[in-house]
Amino acid sequence: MLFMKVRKIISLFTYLFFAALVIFIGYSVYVYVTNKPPVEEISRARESLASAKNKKAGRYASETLREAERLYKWSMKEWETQNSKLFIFRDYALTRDLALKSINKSTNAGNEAKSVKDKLQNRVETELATLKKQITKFEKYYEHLALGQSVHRSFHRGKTRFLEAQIEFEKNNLQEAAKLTKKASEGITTAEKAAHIKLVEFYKNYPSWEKNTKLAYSLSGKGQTVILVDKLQSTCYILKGGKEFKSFPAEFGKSWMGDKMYAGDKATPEGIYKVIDKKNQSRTRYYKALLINYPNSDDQKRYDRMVKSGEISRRTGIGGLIEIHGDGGKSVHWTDGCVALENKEMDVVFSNCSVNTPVIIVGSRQPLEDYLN
Amino acid sequence: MKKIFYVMSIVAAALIFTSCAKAPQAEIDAAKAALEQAKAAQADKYVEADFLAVQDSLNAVMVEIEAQSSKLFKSYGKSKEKLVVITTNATELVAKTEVRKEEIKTEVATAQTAVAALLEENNALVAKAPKGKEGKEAIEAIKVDLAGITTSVGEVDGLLAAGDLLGAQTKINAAQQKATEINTELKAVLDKAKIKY
Repeated sequence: MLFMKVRKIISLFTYLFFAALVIFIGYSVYVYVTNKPPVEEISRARESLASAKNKKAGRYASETLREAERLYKWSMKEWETQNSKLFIFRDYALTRDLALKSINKSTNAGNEAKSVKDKLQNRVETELATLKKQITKFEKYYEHLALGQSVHRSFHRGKTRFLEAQIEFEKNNLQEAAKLTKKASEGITTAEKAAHIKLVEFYKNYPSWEKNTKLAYSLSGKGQTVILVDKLQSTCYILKGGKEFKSFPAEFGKSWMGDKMYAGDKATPEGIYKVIDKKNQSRTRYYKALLINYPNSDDQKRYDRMVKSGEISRRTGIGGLIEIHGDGGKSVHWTDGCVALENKEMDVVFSNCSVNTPVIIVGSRQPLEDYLN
Repeated sequence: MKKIFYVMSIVAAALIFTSCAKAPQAEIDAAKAALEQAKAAQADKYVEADFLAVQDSLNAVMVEIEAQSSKLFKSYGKSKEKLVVITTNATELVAKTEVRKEEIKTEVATAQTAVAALLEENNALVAKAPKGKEGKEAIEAIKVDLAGITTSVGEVDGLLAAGDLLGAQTKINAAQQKATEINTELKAVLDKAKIKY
């Protein structure tokens, strides 16, 4: 009887065990079938990430792309963690959520990259066009001026950066192009400002140049031969009968922009002078020469005033021996303050001048507004 | 009853056997290391598209591996094969990068030689240029330009030494462009003045 009871109990437990097993297996199958791994979401996240990278998000939307990559790596790690568990205990919700967030971020990164790239492209394009205009203007109005090496260097450094920026722009390296454009702008704008300030400073004597130019034409109109030198135009004119009789290219001192103040300043004087000596080849190193009366009384007064105010030392002389001479045509302003002409042109000037011929030197015959237009 | 136990034992053994298949960790590590090496060689800079393609292939295989890991019956065979290919491709990236670097270096060296020749020729042309008023101003500007080019050429060596090959390439190309423009300009002036050069 007892044996029968025990068998019944064992049988009952066996059935219960199998029933539990069947339920467990059923549940496991249910979980396995319904708890799908986030393959699709993760694959989409990977594709979005790759697409964002191909849109250069690494360059133009680096922060957003970094966040998308972080979320993607996290979702992969979370997936790995879930996979290390027994399948019935796996929960892919967080993995899926992270993958979807990564997709979102990658899409944003791609869009942001495109937007930033487009904006940068337009900006650099505009800046390059502006720089091109600045370069053209500088080359036309300022480049030949005596601006000093630092201004010229600044301009040419800027121009070189401009060319480099153009190359990077053509290669589609917009960030590098933007950096170079900025550097180019710094160099060119600095040079342009300095050149303009120098030109305006140079032109502060324009009222006296205008007066002296009128005087030169007036004297020649009264029958005198007059030598008129225009420093900005680098030209020496012979005036006769109130008109330009001849004109020749002229070279001056290295610091020709500005009046001569003292010995060794490499400036060519401005004012009303006259020829005080005619030197033929035996008396000059520079083919032929016309010595003028620098310093005149105005120069002497200014020099004395500057010495008195302490602007220059008395040990610094006022200078002298300013001539119109030959041996020019060197393509640069090279004299110590004299006016140099090519020898064949010096012959013409020499033969047209005598002692006391007026020599009027001006910065420019035309006003600044006309020059810049 | 016994039959049921046998069947269940077989199923359990199969489950245990397939569930215990291991991810190809050695191949994964090898592929990742090869990609890191390619990055260290600056493949992401010099052969960017190829680098991104290999990187994405590795990401795709990692997804496949995790997808297998999610299954009850795992099979890493195909992923393993792909990883081997990725490792090979990543290793090739290093070589490709070096080839690209050498190409740029050669291009820079060729441009340097060309610029040096242009500078020499330009200096000779400047000496022959007419000395009229316009010409004088232009020549003064050209001389400063030529000095600027010489400075740029000097900077190229510094960039090469620092490993900035793309920067050196841009700089020497700009210098060559500038020197060529000056050369054309000078020749036009000499042609106009009917001066032989």
